[in-house]
Amino acid sequence: MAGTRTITRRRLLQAAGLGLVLGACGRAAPQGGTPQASSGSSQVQLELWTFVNTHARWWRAMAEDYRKKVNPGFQLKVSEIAYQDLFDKLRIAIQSGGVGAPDIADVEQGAFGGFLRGGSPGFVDLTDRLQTEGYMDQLVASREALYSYNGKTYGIEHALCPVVLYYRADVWEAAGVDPTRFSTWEDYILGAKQVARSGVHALPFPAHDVLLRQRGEDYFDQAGKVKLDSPLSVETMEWILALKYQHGIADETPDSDQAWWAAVKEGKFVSVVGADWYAGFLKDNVPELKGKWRAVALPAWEKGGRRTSCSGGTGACILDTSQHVEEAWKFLKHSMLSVEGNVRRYEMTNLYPPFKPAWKSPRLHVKDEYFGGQDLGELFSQLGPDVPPQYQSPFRTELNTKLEASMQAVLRRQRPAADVFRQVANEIRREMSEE
Amino acid sequence: MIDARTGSKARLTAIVRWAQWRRSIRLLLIHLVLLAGVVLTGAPYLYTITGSFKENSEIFSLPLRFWPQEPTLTNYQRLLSGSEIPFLRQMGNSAVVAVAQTALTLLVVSMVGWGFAKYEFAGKRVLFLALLATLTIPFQVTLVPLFLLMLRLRWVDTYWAIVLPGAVNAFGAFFMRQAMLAVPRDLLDAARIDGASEWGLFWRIGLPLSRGALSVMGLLIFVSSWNDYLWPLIVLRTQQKFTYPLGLATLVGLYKVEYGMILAGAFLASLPVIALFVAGRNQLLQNLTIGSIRG
Amino acid sequence: MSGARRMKLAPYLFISPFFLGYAVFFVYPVLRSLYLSFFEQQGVRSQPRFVGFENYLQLLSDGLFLKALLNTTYYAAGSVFVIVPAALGLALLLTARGLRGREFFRLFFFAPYFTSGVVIAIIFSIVFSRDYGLINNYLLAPLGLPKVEWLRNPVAIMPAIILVGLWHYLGVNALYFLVGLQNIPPELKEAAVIDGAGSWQLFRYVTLPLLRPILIFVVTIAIIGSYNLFAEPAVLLGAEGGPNNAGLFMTMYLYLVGFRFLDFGYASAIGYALALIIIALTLLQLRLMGVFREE
Repeated sequence: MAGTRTITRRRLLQAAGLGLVLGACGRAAPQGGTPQASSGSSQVQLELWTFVNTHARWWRAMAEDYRKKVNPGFQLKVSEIAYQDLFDKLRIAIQSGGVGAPDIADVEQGAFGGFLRGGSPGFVDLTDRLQTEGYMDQLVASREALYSYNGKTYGIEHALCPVVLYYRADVWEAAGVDPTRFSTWEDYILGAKQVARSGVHALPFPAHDVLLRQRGEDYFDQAGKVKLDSPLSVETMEWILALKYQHGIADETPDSDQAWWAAVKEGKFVSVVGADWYAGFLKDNVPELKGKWRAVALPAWEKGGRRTSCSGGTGACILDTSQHVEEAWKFLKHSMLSVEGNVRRYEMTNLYPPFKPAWKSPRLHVKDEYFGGQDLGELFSQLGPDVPPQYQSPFRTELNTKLEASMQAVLRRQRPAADVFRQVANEIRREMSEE
Repeated sequence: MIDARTGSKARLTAIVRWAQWRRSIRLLLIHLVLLAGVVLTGAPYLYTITGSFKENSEIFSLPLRFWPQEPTLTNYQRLLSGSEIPFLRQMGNSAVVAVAQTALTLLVVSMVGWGFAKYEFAGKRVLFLALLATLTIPFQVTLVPLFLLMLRLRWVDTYWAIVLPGAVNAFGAFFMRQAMLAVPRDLLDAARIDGASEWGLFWRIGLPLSRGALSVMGLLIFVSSWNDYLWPLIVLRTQQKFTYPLGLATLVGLYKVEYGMILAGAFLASLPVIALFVAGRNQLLQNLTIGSIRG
Repeated sequence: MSGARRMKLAPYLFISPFFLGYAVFFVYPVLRSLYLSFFEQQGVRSQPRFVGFENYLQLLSDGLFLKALLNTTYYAAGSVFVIVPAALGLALLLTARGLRGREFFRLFFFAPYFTSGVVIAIIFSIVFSRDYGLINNYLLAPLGLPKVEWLRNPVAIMPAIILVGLWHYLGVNALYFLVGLQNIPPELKEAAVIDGAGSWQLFRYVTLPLLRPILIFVVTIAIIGSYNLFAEPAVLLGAEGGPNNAGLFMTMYLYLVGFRFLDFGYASAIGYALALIIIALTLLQLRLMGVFREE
């Protein structure tokens, strides 16, 4: 998402669901589904929860397909539940021993961490299945880090989420700069200075964690330790601040979604660091700028360095309270771990798949008119293997919440980044040690 | 030549005219203040309505334009056709729930309000405080245990789970009690002497005299039930049973927010309430002739 | 049944439906939650561990809890000293004699109450936007005042929330007052005017005292409502309450701890602490307004 500032939309998502799990009346003993004898035709009805209507449509299409090709007795009931609500309901369901829980759920990466707190997350451990059946190699493994903890993987990623640089080709061209020539951020800064003028910024503050991941670190490391206050992290933040205070090419995002898109429309921001799904946002919100935008790999930090990052993601997980774990797994294999399934999903949701065999499909390589005929799929396929991992932690939401409150002070230079990062990191470390 | 009589008459006329003038100015000022209030209050609401006739991208056009440049009905079409969500069905569900909840709650709270307002009994103060206590506990505290209770009673995914717990409306009880205090004792004593039953007093005297309060409370309960989001969300499972706020919420997607449809849905959903308010306005603010008993 | 016994039994019959529901749908969940506040339970499936009063003690040194308490109290003060008087003022204006369009005004000021949280987010993010907002551009700038960063300046955030509260709840509070004003017998007013009372004296010595029950009600509800406020600030600022947590309300903190951080035991404790605070304030307020003297 543009900038480090939360945009109203996320607040809308939060507003959409507010409940509070305050206690478990039933000790949640996993009901452990007795494995169904895998059969060609058995009457099975699975329930699936998702929060995106495009996903829902795809799931239903996949179910139809599965019914025709694998098990005629298969039925999938798909419920669309608003973003934040879904996880609240899921938690309540898991708390109460699986009563009312679905068999499969789409869990967004930001919410996933919450399920890791204390005890098992309530999802089936898919590690063995993915490894032995060879899927791990076919997936961009680093994406799976988002749904893994302590060596166990609990979900399958829907979207690759490679981060690229979107830019207004017409504006940069008029300034005599070609962003496709940028190989490092140094190049970018030099070029951006040609474009930035009074009232026009080259870009909004890029998200700190996205750039950090590009450089190979994250807020947590693989072992789950807090790395927010590492020297690299602080240095990256200072670099971001310098974009405004030293180079004068960046600025804060406006204080609401509407204001942001209006600014984009007026040409106040002429490039954006964003994931693949951001292309959809551009198309929806600023259709007038059709044909003017292009996408290119992120400039690297050092010559030959990584040219992409990751941001966002949703994983499909099987609830361990499900009575039909095996059937659910078969269905997931059929839909998420097949070329056809991934290609269909791209066509229906515009999310680039993390499933490598699908990248060769010509249906993923469409000349996108909005981007002046550019084949975005080509770009994403090239960057795909380089997408860095993003490490999950039970404390991720807490860290993000605490950081968010102080981020504005950092961006406005009211408090030094090092101090803020250290404070938040220490608070989280203290929490971790108390568990 | 001004003699004493014409002089005083002229002064009197002048005073009266000045008082009338002052009153007109006052009235004018009142109107102006209210109109200013209307503009301030109404502007955001107007924006909702006009926004519902805009395409999503136009909603983001700034500088702000109230009226759509290219008005469109797509938001309404998509919403009402049921292609995204079964909106009409969900509005219907909301109506059923709201009506049932209003009827039951009004009965229960007027009964308990009457009991507190018109009787003395052991434990009255304690029970009243207990009633107030419900208002002070934030709802989140009872949420999960209440939900699990619903599970045990097998009321999940039914409207019982919404209507029955909803009848325990301390706010309504408190309000009805305050309002029913105004019903004069003499009237009740007189009726008792005439042989009316206690229930009859309530049903035939108390309720009718509290019509205004009942109307207000009824409207509030209806609106609150109509807009209720959290509890129905927890308790209802199937999309066909959802009330409309749940349906609208699913339009706030992770990758795309259907602003236009949400505004359209919000506008449509506000219409029944406005209609109720307009239709019931006489009931609402009727002059209660409680003073008729005296003398 | 003898008359005396009927009188004794009657109140209990009237209040029993309410209190039956109360026991089942309120007392039981509340006690259950209280029980849980003495445990520590992290995460979705962990075993609760008994920790006694530790959760409550932790509250005293919890910076965010104290900040939320401060913010919420600030808002409550705004509610009682700004919104309630404004509602009373509005109600008085609406009962002015000779007012034209009375019904239109009544309806209009009440309309915002129908709006739900999601829509408020869309509307007020525009109202409060620094560069494109309604307030900055159409109110402040023409008066030569500098633009305010309503949603980003920690100092301006709470006033912004109070403004949202004003917009949302002015009408409904005015409605309560209107009901109260209805109950004032016009003869009393006429008698006072004949005795030579001016508008202010009329208000102070006739209207206000007779409004007391309703006033008590409105202020109590305002205080309780303030401490329970959740949707509007959460939706505008995010559950963390924006920069420096300047808009963090207690219910939002409760939600964060329970739902985001999954610290259920601690969240229960916060819920109970919040409830105790509300109860204390309500009792204090009722006492100040003399509710416990003889009605």
